[in-house]
Amino acid sequence: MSAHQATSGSTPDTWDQITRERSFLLRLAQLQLASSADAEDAVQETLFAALRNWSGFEQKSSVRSWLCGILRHKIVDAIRVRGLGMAPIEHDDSDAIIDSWFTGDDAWHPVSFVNHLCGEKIAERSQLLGIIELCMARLPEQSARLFLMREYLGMDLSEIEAGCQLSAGNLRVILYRARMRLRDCAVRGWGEFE
Amino acid sequence: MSQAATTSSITCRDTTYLVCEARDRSLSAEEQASLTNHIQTCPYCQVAAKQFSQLFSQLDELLARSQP
Repeated sequence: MSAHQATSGSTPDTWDQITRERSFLLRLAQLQLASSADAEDAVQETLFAALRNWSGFEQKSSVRSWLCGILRHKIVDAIRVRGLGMAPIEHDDSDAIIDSWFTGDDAWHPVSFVNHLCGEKIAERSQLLGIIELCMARLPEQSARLFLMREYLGMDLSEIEAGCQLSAGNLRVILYRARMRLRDCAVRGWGEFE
Repeated sequence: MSQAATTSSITCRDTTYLVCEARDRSLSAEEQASLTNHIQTCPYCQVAAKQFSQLFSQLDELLARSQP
């Protein structure tokens, strides 16, 4: 790769560290941008911007978090140009799954309740974030997309409702299901480390 | 979704609605009071609330929410 040679302060190792995150970034971008060419562009621009600004990377955050921050700006720019696009209706079995976690009185079901906390045994931050990433990948695609508009792009609910032609009630339900399923998946993952 | 939150007694499922919605909006004083009351007396919801808080802070880190 000749890109790193043209950039002061970075080394071949820098480029490796940055491009290692490419597939995660691409999945994030593809969920947000309807066109896969736009998603590729946003990720490519992010990788080059990171390479140019490597000296600005503070070790306080992981490389992945830092790149996510840069990619967010690229995605927001692309959405500004292209719009959000309607949310497709898709089959989602989350309601039945969530129902099974509660009793008829809407109390937590003692049998299915998972009580693992994220303990100190997961010392590696990357392992911990890996669990969350895996769990996000398991969400139904539409849920993941809307969830990330809110949690990653930081859009207001009203913006998402208008841009995706969803009612306020629908959006609330979708975000609720996504968070509930993420919790369930994450706590099971934490349990694996006990 | 969380009609019961206007009364003082809410269910475990209601607490999950409130804990999740608190990510998107400020809860009313009544909602906050119902939530606190329930969590104080329910061991399951104490654990679940802690799990949600751990999950949300990890999400913030992964997705770099604290960055400008």
